[in-house]
Amino acid sequence: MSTTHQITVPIDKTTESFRDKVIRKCGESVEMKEKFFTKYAELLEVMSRAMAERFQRGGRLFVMGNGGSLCDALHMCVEFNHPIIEKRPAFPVIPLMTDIATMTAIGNDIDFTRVFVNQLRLLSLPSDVAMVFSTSGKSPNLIYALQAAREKQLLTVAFAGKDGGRFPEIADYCFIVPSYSIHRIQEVHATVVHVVWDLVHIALGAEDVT
Amino acid sequence: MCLAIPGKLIEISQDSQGVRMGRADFGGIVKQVCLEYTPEVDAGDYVLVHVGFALGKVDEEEAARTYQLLEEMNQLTELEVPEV
Amino acid sequence: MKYIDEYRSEALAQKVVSEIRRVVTRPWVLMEVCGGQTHTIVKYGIDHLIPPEVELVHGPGCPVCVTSLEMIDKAHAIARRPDVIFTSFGDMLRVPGSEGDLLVLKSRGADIRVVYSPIDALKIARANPNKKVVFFAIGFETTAPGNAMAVWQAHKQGIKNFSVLVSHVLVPPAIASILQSPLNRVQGFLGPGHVCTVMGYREYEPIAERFCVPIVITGFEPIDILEGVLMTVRQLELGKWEVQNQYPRVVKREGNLIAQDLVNKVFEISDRKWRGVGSIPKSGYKLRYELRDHDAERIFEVQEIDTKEPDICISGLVLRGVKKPHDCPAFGQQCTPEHPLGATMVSAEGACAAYYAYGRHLEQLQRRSAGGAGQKVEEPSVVR
Repeated sequence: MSTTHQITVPIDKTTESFRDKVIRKCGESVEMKEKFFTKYAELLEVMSRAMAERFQRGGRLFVMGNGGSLCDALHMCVEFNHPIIEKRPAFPVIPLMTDIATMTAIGNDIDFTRVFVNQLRLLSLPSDVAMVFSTSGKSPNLIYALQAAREKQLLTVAFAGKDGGRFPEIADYCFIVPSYSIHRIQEVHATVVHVVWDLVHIALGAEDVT
Repeated sequence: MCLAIPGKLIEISQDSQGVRMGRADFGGIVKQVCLEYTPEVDAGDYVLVHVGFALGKVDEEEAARTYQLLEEMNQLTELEVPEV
Repeated sequence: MKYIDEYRSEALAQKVVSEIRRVVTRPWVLMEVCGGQTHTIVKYGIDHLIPPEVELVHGPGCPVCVTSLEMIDKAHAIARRPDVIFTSFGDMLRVPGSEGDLLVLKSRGADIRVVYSPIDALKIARANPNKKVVFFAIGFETTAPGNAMAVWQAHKQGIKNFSVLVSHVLVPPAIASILQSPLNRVQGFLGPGHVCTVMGYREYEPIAERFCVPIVITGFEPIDILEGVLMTVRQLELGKWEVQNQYPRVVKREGNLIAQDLVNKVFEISDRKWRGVGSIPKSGYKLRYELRDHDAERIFEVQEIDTKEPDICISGLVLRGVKKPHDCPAFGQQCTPEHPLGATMVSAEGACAAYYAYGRHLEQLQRRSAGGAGQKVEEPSVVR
């Protein structure tokens, strides 16, 4: 679990040039992606095949997230709903963060922690997939949605960061970016969106051309 | 707020609402303790109590084992390399 | 008393101290998280017993100290109401809000009562059906099971006049926040023994791994603290960063699952503002929506609160381990337990109160009169 310290020379961020900052942050981002995808390559394959199977049988993917993670979830929608490669079929991905009328009604009348779970219970079927993006894994509105999805027999997938929060206990497939930096976590999630879309189609026999 | 003290359970009962309660002896001072979080304890066991709730059973074997290791420290100083 | 006395043995303490002396080869900065641990360290002079290479800095593990000023002011606003019986642990009554403390309010006629346990508050609610009884539910994860039980029982038994003002705080996000600060000097932690009795210590493993810091879950008696220091220093000397359990007589890796279960039924994770530190995301508990009838924040609509913090108080820096109580110019002078300026002087677990109780302000006076500096020099944080 642990390896030996190497105490490196401290970086003085106050005198670092802008160019060096850019290179360093980019390096951190690349390193985080390498760590994540090396760790989860096999699990991503298994998960993508499970998702592909559900899509083939008419299942839909429901995605959720807050803030920056909302953007990553929404990105998943456009990848599947409007594929960049014409030969690949479109599959239905439904975001639960965009109906602001329903969201604000639930948030205003009931509680913001219920904005996703209430919609999910109403709109989803056991043949569907639920996928959440979160940097902490602790957002109550996502935890409740995942729990309800699990109870309803949806396939549940979670992308998180930090320590993963409650997601590992609830999701069928849980992927945790090993970082406490919100930006680095989201940068990995952004790549995940493309990789997952690609793997699902390759699992269904598509040519690997991206 | 994390002040929790080990006490010896001397009695187990149920209150009027069916909640598992007990009385614990803290070196002579006896207090009521809620035992809902420690269903495995029996009279005679030691429990760690915080604001009237038993949060865990004191593992007497573990305590004896780790205490003994502490007492034996330094006896083999010249021969031992520090281990984590 | 069994499981206490033997952990105060002087002979054993000497053994552990000489073992620390034997293994340490260079300076290390350790933080003990819990206020109760700070108290033991100062009371038994553990920071003076251990070799000078090992520096102990004090963490934010005093829930009274970190309850936000806004929350204290909300408590005042609720307690002031004639239809309310406001109940709380004793410490909270003396924490200064923007306009004095709850004890002052009590002297002006507010019905404010000290309780030992949240169950006592529930009993008061049963006995006073015409009053709204509010319990000030502050604390770390150690206190959450007790508060959860009180709310759950109120809910099940239909005790409608009982509610809680929740300001729970969680330890792991606080540790992560300290480690992410550019001012951080901490290289190893003595983890919170009683918090982990409830929660287990799984949550600390990703922190140890990602930030490369050893975390040793430690008890509260002097021998526990010394052994915790020894285990942490050993790891640091060997270049390791693992979570270890110094307190296995009560702490298990998974914690108390029954307690966690009820806590999760009653509370959900929320953002929380820590006094002197600021808002730490996902670092607190609030009541779940299902239990809103017992949520004092929802029941009592409190107007916009204007908070006022004394400028001279550095409790925020003390809570983050950046400064020590004796670094504060007001320590032992304008700020004493009788007239506290900040929460760290009020609570029995606060670092400033502990230092004062064990005469550290006298050392400071001696240092000042001898012309010595009381300020610590900041070291740059080491990048690993």
